[in-house]
Amino acid sequence: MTLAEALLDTLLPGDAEFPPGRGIADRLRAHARFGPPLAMILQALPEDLALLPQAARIIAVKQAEAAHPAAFDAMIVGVYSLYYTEPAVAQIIGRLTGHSAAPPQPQGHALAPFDPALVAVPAGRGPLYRPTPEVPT
Amino acid sequence: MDDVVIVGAGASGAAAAWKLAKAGLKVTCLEQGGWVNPADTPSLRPDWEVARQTTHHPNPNVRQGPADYPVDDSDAAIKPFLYNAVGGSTILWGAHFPRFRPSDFKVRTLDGVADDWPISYEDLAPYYAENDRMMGVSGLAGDPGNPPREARQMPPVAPGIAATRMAGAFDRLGWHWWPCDVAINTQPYGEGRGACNNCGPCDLGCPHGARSATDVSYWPAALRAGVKLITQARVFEVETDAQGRATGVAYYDATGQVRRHRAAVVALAANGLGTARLMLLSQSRRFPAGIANDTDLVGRRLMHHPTGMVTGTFAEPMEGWRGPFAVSILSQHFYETDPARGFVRGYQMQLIRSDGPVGTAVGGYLPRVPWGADHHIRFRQVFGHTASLTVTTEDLPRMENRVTLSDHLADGNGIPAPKMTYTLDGNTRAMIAHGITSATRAFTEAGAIDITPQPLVVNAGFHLLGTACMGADPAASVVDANARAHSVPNLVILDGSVFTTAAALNPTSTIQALALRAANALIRDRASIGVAA
Repeated sequence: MTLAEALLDTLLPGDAEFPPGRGIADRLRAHARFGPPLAMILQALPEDLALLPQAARIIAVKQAEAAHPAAFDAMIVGVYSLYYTEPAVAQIIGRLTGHSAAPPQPQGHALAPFDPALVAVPAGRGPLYRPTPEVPT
Repeated sequence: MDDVVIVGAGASGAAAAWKLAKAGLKVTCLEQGGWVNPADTPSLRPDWEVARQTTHHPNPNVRQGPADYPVDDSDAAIKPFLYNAVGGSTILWGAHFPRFRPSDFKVRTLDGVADDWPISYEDLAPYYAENDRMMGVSGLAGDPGNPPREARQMPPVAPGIAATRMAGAFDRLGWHWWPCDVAINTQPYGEGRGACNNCGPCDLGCPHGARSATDVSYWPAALRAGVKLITQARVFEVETDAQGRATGVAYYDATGQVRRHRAAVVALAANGLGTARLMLLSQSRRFPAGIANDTDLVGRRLMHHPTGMVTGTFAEPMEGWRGPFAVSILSQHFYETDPARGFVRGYQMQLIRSDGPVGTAVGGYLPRVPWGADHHIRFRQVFGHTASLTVTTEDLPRMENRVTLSDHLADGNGIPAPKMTYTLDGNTRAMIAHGITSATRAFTEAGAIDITPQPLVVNAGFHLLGTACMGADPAASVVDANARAHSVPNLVILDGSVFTTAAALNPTSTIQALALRAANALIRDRASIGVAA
């Protein structure tokens, strides 16, 4: 396991349904915007991160986060962005929630007509806006 | 020589350009960005949420696009939102389209704070209506929280599961709420513009043209009316004669060459940040501190809409990824001053739907989902189960909140970047605190199982207002009631810079109505405006 994969598995260990984060390592490393902060964080981690016990891994990653908060923040945005747009992850989310793995367009979602009965209560309240000399209620 | 040169092709520049050209004036508009093809929206791509975090982020400092200029926000509590393109920031907006209330124009008279506008709601009402017809508005007449007005062009957007539930909670609490007015087509409307298909991320653009933006609403008609639009033109100075009257503008073209464009009237429509920057850059013997800046008010009185947010998590799915993310219903129950609350003026609460998987994990409406062993447990709890209420407050003008020129940042042409200096005052903080309590109560009433407040969302409430304020007194304002600079009669400010006060509502509808009114005054008064020789 590479250092980046060990980092990603520490950030996103996965569970019975979701895969661990290591699958995005190559994409993250190669990403023009997210690659540089990843590189900075990797430099702040022990090279043998993959060999450390889980508790020690977490401590090491937290230390890197504290030492380089801006880079870590940018990297996390990248990790979550690439992980949750992985087709396999999108499929899992779709199965769990009904959220489509397809892009929002072109199909979108059905647009239900507005039901005017919904406003029966507020419509009955009468003018609530504050009068002015030009616009009395 | 043109009759009018307009700087900026966004919400206000497009509206004014159309109106002026339709009346027969010779108009050129200079825009530092280019055209954005709606068919290129990232919403058509699997990585659409990555685009939201990068190339289509609302903050130019994050986005770093080729047309963007950096913003020095190191001393700003709220981060900037703007876009440089034909259509301006309407390219990336959520299309919430409320009008200001009549009381918003009279805060000095009613509440003894800030300043009254030199115009009233009634003065602006015909221009609101004209603008609604051009942009296309969906909504519902009969809101008791606002004066009666004509029917919207289309029925409201469907509220969705969460808004329906929150509406019931508001009803039981006896609080005002109403469907949002939105510049989104619920039916085909306008030139080749289709109906919304409820996809969600309006901010990424709309391939159907359903979500209005001025590139698809005003610009086709403006170009037909004869407006000359020059893109990739970055204006860096309003030029003046010895008397200080505007003679035109200087800009860098797409190749980096300096060009000059002369016009009888110069109109600035570069938003509350860009316009102040350009005015401060436009120094001359007559105006050593920037054009029309005799009073040292240019750049000052910067107002946003500081926003708190409360997110409710429900046991049941809310499916908040369906439907326009920013708009469904709003409550103005706490909009007006009540001395018992301990602050002056008030706030609106606007229901926001929820985010996609990336947005949920990265955070925004809710704090970021923490990394580590419990990440996916938390993600399952919140994804698709939340709705949020913004607490959008009225920001009263203060001289120390301002736009200046950065001493260390510049854009690609070497033009100094704008610097925002901005803090919240105690009145605003008290308002947000009250709003968080109110929103929490509403979510409790609605049956949320978990409620998370955020006292200030730094990437919300970013409207750019007030930096060339409108007023009747030349000693206490930059422009007059017709948006013409007191000290430069042929300089017009069309964007949100002219706001005397900010109200607690999204400003685009008011910005555009003011631009149409200013254009109308120019058409009417053109023969008597003192232009450069």
